[in-house]
Amino acid sequence: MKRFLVMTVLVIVSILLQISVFPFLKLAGVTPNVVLILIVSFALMRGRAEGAVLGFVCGLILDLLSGGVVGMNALIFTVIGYLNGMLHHLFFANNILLPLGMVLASSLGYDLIMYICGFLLRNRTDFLFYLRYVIFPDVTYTFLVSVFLYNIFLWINQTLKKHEKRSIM
Amino acid sequence: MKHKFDLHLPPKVILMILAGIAIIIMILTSIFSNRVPVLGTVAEDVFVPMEKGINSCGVWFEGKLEDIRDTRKLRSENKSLNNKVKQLQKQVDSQRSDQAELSNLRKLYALDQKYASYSKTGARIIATGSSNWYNTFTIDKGYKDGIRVDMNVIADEGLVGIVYSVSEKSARVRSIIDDTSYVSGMFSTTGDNCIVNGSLKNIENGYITVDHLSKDAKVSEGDEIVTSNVSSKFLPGISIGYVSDLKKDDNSLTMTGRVTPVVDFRHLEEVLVITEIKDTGADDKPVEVSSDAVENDDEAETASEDAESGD
Repeated sequence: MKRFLVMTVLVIVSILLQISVFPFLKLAGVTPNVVLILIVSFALMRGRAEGAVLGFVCGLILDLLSGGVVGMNALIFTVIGYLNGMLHHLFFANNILLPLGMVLASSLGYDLIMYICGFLLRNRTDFLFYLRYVIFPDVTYTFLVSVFLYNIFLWINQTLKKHEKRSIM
Repeated sequence: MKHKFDLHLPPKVILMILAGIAIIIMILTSIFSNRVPVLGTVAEDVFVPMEKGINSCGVWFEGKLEDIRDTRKLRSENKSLNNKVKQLQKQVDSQRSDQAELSNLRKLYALDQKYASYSKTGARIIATGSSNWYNTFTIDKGYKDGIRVDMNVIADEGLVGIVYSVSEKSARVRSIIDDTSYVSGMFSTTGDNCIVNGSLKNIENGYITVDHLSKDAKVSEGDEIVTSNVSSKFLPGISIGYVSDLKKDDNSLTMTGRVTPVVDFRHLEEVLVITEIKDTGADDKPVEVSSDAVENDDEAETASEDAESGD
């Protein structure tokens, strides 16, 4: 129950960070993908099922908040959550390289899918341009932010774990 | 310590179910587009108040930052100017601020005159789209405030975009610089029609593109493009931008060029929504006629008559 409440708050805070706070802190014209960091972090720490559910919930809320066709982000984030959850068995608390690497890979994958579905299919073929002006800044900024955010998420998860153990005993 | 969920489904099944739901929602919403405010309201009831709060904090903070920057600038300026004649400097400063105020007021006056015939409502931008790929944003007015899909949004002196989805208390706007935006425009000088389409690629360099312009059009660089009379969604005569760099296409029938938008999209905080929807006559949707709308129409008509007689 406690975990559920904490996760709800985390989801809301991350979405607000992404769509309301970071637009004030744009670097090179992009905002970091905070929601993606949240999904990757918790999928790695908690496994496939939670990764997929978290991805679905976050994606659906983002879709609903940005209007138009709903479900695109939900689908992509569900898959990202699940795939990251598959690496749960490799996860150790003091290994920061795995989560950071996965944030990098996931945001790159997310942007590539967005490019292919939203742009390449509409005959915007100049991939190098989009790579340079959208994908590269987005991935870099997301990566930099994830260095801080991941540690916060890790600490939250660790604290939750302690509380859960205590309540079992 | 396994899953937090009561139903112990294997993760693979969960993935399948969730992906399936996402795909079904996607198909449903693309079929019934513009008809999902019911779904949106739950999410926005939670988020819109918070977005508003954060936004006002952000604007305040930005203002403070600017203040700090301004004071720093002023200090260094003061130092370097100390040796100069102070009185003269003062005079210049006050004159300059007067000038700025004058031009601002003139601009406002011109904008109000220019689009006086449309009834408008002000709105604040409270959030951006969900990714860096699309130039959309959320405003703090929605269905309750009379905002409807397809209403035009303006700022500064020109067109910002169009409302593409509305919920109870907020609405989403697609700006004309968005890659999927196409606006039917015309040259205010000659009346030649063209299509202005947004481009994620070109807006990096500060312009969007115009195409489908007839090769015979007698237009020159720097001419103003306004929304066209024949547009199905945009009200006519709203300024879009100024054209440059016109080139003939390979088919030598049409021309393509650059448009520098009138609106400064990087520093957009407040916008005006024109609370009228273009009536194309070919609409099969039932038209809601409330007493308010009728009144507004009357006002608009008299206003436009005034403007015409003024000309």
